[in-house]
Amino acid sequence: MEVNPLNIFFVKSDSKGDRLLFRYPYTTDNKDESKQKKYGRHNPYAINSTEDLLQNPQSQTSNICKGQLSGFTDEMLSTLFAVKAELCNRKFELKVNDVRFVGHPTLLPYRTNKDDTATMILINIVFALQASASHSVVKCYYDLSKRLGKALRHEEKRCSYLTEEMKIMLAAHDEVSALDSEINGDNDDEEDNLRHSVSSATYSSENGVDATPKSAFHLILQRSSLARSMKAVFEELSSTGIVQVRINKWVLLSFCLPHKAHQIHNRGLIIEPETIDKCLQKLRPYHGILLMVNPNDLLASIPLDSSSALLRLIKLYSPLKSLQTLAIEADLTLKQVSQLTGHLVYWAKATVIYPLCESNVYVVAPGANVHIHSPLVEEFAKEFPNLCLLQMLSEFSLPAPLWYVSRNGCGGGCGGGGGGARLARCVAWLLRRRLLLQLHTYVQFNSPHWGRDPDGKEYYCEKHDVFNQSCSVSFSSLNQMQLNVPEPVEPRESANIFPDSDEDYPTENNLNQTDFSHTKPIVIESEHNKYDKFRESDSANHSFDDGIDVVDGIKPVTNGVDYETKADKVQKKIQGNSVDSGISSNMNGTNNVNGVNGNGEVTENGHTELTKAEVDKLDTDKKSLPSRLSDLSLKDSEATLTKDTSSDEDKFETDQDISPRLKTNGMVNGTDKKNGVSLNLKLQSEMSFQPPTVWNVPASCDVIDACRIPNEPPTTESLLDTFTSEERAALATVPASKNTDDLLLLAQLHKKGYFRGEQHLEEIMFMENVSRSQLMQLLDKFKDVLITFETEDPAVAMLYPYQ
Amino acid sequence: MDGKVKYYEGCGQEGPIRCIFLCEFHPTAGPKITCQVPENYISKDIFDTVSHYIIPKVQLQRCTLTVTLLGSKILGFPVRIDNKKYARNAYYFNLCFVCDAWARTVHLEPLVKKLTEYLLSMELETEWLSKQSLSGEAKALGGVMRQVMQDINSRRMCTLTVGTTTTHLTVVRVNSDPTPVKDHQVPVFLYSRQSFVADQWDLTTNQILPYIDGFNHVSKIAALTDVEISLVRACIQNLVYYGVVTLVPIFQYCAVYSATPKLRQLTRCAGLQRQCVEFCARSPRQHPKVSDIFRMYAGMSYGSTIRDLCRRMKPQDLAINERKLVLFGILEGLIRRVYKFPITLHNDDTASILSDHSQPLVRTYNGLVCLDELCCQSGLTALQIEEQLERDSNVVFIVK
Repeated sequence: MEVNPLNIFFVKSDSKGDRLLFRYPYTTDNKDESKQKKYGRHNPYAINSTEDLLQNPQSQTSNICKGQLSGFTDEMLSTLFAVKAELCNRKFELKVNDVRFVGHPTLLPYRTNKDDTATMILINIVFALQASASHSVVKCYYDLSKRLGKALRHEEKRCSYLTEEMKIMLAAHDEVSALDSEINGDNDDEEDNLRHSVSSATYSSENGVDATPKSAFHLILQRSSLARSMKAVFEELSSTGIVQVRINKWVLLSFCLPHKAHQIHNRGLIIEPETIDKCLQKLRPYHGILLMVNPNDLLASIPLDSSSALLRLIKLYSPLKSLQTLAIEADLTLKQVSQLTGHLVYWAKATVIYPLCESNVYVVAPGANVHIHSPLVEEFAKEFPNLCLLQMLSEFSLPAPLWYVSRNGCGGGCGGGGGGARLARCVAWLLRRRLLLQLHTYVQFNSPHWGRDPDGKEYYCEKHDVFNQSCSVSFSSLNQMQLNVPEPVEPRESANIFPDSDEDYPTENNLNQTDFSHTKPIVIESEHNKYDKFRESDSANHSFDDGIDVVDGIKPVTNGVDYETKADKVQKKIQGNSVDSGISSNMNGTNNVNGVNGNGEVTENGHTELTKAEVDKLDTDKKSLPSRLSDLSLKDSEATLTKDTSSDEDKFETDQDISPRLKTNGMVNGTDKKNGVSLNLKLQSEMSFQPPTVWNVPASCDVIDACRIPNEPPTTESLLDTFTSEERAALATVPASKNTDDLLLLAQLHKKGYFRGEQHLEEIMFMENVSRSQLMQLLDKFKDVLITFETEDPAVAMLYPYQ
Repeated sequence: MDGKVKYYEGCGQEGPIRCIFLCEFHPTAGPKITCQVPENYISKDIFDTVSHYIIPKVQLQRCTLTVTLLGSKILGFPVRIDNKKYARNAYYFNLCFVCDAWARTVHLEPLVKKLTEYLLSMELETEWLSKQSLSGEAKALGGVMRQVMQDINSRRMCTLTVGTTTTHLTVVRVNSDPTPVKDHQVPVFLYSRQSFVADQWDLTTNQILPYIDGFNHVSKIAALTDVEISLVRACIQNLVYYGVVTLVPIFQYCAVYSATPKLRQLTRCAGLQRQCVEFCARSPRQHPKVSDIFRMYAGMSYGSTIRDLCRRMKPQDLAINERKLVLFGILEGLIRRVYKFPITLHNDDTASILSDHSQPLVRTYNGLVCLDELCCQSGLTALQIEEQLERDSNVVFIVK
């Protein structure tokens, strides 16, 4: 409520003095009330004596009466708002009792009608707010006032719009006051009358002579388009918080008061722009957006001259997609997508979520309104017949993955066809209303030296301390790790490789030289056309057509290893699909674990697959791979998988120049993709759930690989250096640490700071391209040293009402 | 009180008073600053630009005016005294506080008003103020203003004595009204009890103070102190308003808590760890390990009660007092309580009539009353109530 404006004023001040030209709303009882107020409470039995008034001052404490401004005469306001020239073009803020006035006095050249010599005139468009309105609300109103001032200055310069409008307004004031003096027969001289009597109400109404009260402002509203614009501004602010006004049918003024706009969808939810900024800083490529409105409506409401990027983004929008996916599909940079997201969130058109996925865990949000008669219940019933909101919410009483909820019969009563799709729509609806909150699992490494941490910081230690720590500890050898970089897309700017390209395609050639910060495992959905698109560009740059066959044919000897790479990856992908989507709960056991382990450098680029081949070669102790691989049952790679991989240990040195090709091969073989497609396409078509498919970036870059290999030989020992001696002792007691693969994966993730409770499992999966089951197994094996806890993602939770 | 000062400073929203000045309407020179502490904080130029907000038109007399201009915020309460003895038949003055533009100043408004009224009464009685300004130097006034500024900035209260009159000024935090206190809530002190001046509070509050230990809930406190429960509620609401106590959910072994993102702080902030270890210890001699405490907190999630957690973790073996652990977590925001709300689904008459016959205690649950509150109202244990509700097929539970 307090974000609504109380009033809007338009004041001018020039050589002829200051004048309140227009206000909206204009109340007709303004005068009586102000009179009454002056004498305090009116008691008919009290003796009104001036002395008494002095001794017991009845000071006025409120200027708001029934939601409207009261106690101010127009004349008084115009003196207050006509500031001195020194205070022009800066913020004007005045608080009187419980009313706050905010405006931006604008000084502009003004052509008087007689001669063409331009004089300066000051105009001030002031908003009256409740004083309890927060600082950021005031700031927004100030901004609006400033923009209105600018628009008027522009229009004045272009076609003397302001001059004309002011003439109309002044004429109306004069007309009404002339009428007044006629009726009253007062002998007041004209000027005085002008100053005092021209108020919201004419004397005629007070005296009861004229039955129809006539107000100067009423006349102005009929005659002046500027006044109508201001009225529109006021009314749109009070109703939706979104202002779309064309001043003089020329300058479009678009303004959004986010505090108000978010209440369209969620009553009582006040989101300040500062919160949105903070949320955006925490935005990561794996986040997604959830539109609050129908995408088609949104497209229709967007002005014609809007950015095509925004249109593309909205057209491709799906709550299942991550920002990165959207970026790829819409052919935008991640930065652009983040900015557009911020834009959409600001305008209350969208909110930030983790993309819908069957493995997501939701609970009822603490601030959710679960009153039995809340309007949400009705809305929900309208949207989803046969479903009861409260029953639906009670399904989310225990934290369980979505597939579990759907299996249990969506909402109890929602059986039948399309259950998954319906549940998805349902969850999206609930997320929009902030009724559900997603829980994520975070992992904390239980280091034994917690208690006696010598840094002795005080309690108020802030997050940035932590950022510094983690940065300095683990990222020294990594050229990027955007874990703690506030802007998810920051590295993009520093990447000298993309001077202006919009393509975030990993398939571009030049991408090979970037620092990989943004080309990390790109999560896309296996939608058919998308794949086609990628395939095209892929094949343009890399010389594979159908992946395996071609390249294999060329290099059959060198790479037993790359098969396993491929196989791992394929398997991983499939596993990812199957586990996440709940299609099958087949956990492929230890097979996958060896996929990622071992190489520290793998994950620094997020290309697990790329370098796995090399690393496997490096690690001589990993030669048991074939046996493990042999039990893979993947149709495409089955045939080749059984090859012996142990032979290439000595090939490592020479492989460096070969590896790119191997990788190309290993990475993007067509079958992989097809697998993804075949698994997911069906679901996709009916908007069912689909896990973010990890699509391996074919950015196998010769340059990087070449220089990557020497600088870090990833051995168990070097990785274990990340643990302190106590930690190692603790680790030694865990039986799982006997398994080098597990230990290496643990060390790797630990080294990158994933076990500090900062990144949730989904983020680790995304960044490191490991599968959920791999992580879950790791967590299980090392549960003595790894502590997990479930809580919400702060970036997303920020946009929830205060709990 | 010292603790309070630190608390205010730490929150960073309220700034100190930078300057206090008295402005008058001089019969010939117009608005001018009579006395300013410190000197020349508000320069002549600035004052001229803002003077018509400081000595405003008649209608704005006796209004708290705050004007934010040129990087500072000026609070005033303009006053006019009509009397034939003054030149121009009236005496206008305004005592203004100046703060930084970023500072919150709402809490200073009553102060300005009270101080102005004090000056006003002195002026009416002895013409103290106008004499001060006529004397040219206004030494006494300057002294008063300096004292106010120093004392308010440092101690947030001030006792002024001028001649035979005395006035007390204190800054009261402006808060929104606290929500009504419910019977099942537990008040807990935010400051140590020692920093609490007992004679500042009323008798009833003093009577219930000893029983506020972070574990007794409101109705229990009422029973223990033999005070009417509505009085206890009112007292505690008052204490909440002044930020002396806060309300936490009642501790029960069947309660469910969930970790918040803030829990991470425990892993890295040594100060928090130390506090936590000391607070949660079973005995002061043996401190628990932070990792164990963290494990306990991490184990708190939807669906697992404190009872489950205690069975699993055995806090007594780890030297952890689980009640204090929960209390600390709630106070520091490391965990939050997850409430269970019973809701009657089909609110039809038939259903309620049916259940009327089958059950003695029948009511509809609208989703606003959590199980804790029901327990407290009915005097039943949570288990009993839950059993009772489970039998009613129309009731579902929402956990949030």
